[in-house]
Amino acid sequence: MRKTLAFLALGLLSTVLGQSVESILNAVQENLEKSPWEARLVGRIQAQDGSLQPVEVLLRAVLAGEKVLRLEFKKPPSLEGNFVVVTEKEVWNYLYLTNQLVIQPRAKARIEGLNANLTFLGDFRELAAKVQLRLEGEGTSEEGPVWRLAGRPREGGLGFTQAEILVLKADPRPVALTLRDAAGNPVAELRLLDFRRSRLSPAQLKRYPQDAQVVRR
Amino acid sequence: MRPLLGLLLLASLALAQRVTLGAYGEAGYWTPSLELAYPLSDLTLRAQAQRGALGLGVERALELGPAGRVAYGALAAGGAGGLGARAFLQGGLGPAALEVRLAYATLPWKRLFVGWTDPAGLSGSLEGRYRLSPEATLGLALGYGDLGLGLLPWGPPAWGTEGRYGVRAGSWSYTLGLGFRQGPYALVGWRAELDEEGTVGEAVLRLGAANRLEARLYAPLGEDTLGLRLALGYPFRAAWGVAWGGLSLEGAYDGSYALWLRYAWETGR
Repeated sequence: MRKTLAFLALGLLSTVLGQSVESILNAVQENLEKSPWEARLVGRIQAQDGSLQPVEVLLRAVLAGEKVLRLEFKKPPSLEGNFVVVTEKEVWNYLYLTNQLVIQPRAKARIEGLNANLTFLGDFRELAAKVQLRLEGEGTSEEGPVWRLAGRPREGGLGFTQAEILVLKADPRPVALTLRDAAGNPVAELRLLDFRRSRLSPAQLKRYPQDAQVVRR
Repeated sequence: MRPLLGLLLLASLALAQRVTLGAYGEAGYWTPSLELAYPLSDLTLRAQAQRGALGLGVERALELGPAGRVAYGALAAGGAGGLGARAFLQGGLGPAALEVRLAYATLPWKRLFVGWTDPAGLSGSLEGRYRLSPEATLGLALGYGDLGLGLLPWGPPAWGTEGRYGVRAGSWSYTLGLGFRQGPYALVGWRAELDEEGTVGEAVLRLGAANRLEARLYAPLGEDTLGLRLALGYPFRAAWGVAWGGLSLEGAYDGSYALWLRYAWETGR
């Protein structure tokens, strides 16, 4: 009996927390879809050689209607001028030094170089489908009180094995993201700064120099 | 035999990812041209043919996301009483980019495929670029052969080297350089993104032992890009091209004319 009650209690608790995670992620997605926005993604991210490199990315998104997310690299200096455009079906990688635009199906592409795959940044419902998240509790950040979500990918290939996301309670959106590998070493430690609503269109976010060599993979 | 060949041709067209058909003409000679690209796992197989010559090649690319991309491949061609082989490696990784091309043929490449202007024998080029900072890029090129500016060889094959220093200021960039090809020359270049639509204009002027102006303009037109390019040299030579969507028309003049009209179909495979 005790065991049954304990099991039921655990089941109910996990259901409540599960719903909370789902409702939080839904609130985040609805909030981010409300109008186009831009923010700076600042922190450190693992490079190909395994070292953590300072990274600064200008993130711009239109997540209602035709969904487009654009990541423009400002740091490291060697990637400045490169950008990534994530649409519902494709990932576009623009390489400044070789003036090439490489277009890949989204299922095949990884925003590598970046060992962590950040394509989910534009779709938090997709994140919930790929990462088994749980509500760890609440906390505070510079922006205000936050929910702490943590979890593990449901399947391999995402480039990380642990994730922690801080979600701002007052204006549901992520303010910090930490991804770790199997050994617990950080793959990415990022903060979302200077978030603001902006007048952006999908066409603006998909712009690229017209003389670029377009390569479809 | 002919129906079988016809079936083979139809099957090869139907299976290709990209099919490019063309017609090339110059004084006293014309040929149809065919280029095919087949995706095969991580590889891309290529075939190119013209009257009396066939080339087969394979390419592969290593995609590294925003960090870079490296592509390499090789092609062998035969026909018109000769043989040729060529290979390339081209890519960038972080702050560095490299492009290496090497070709060998027992006859001028143009007779193996009209799109190549490399001379008979050994030819090739090596070009490296390095980003000194987000704004400044250093480039160095060394090569032997043709300049590859258009449909006709741009003068006799020769050794050449060129050093370039590029500075970017916002959406404009400027290039200064020095080179040597049958004598020293200087170069000055400009490239700019001209509007919010991604229109790009570019001009490079070389003066000295080499005298030529190359200008390019790429602008969105409908769903596609309109590309215009022109190269003018002194003593007088010219090469130009217009491309939009799958359609392209190239021309060249070096005392005689050449013209190449092509249309490319993408099957989306």
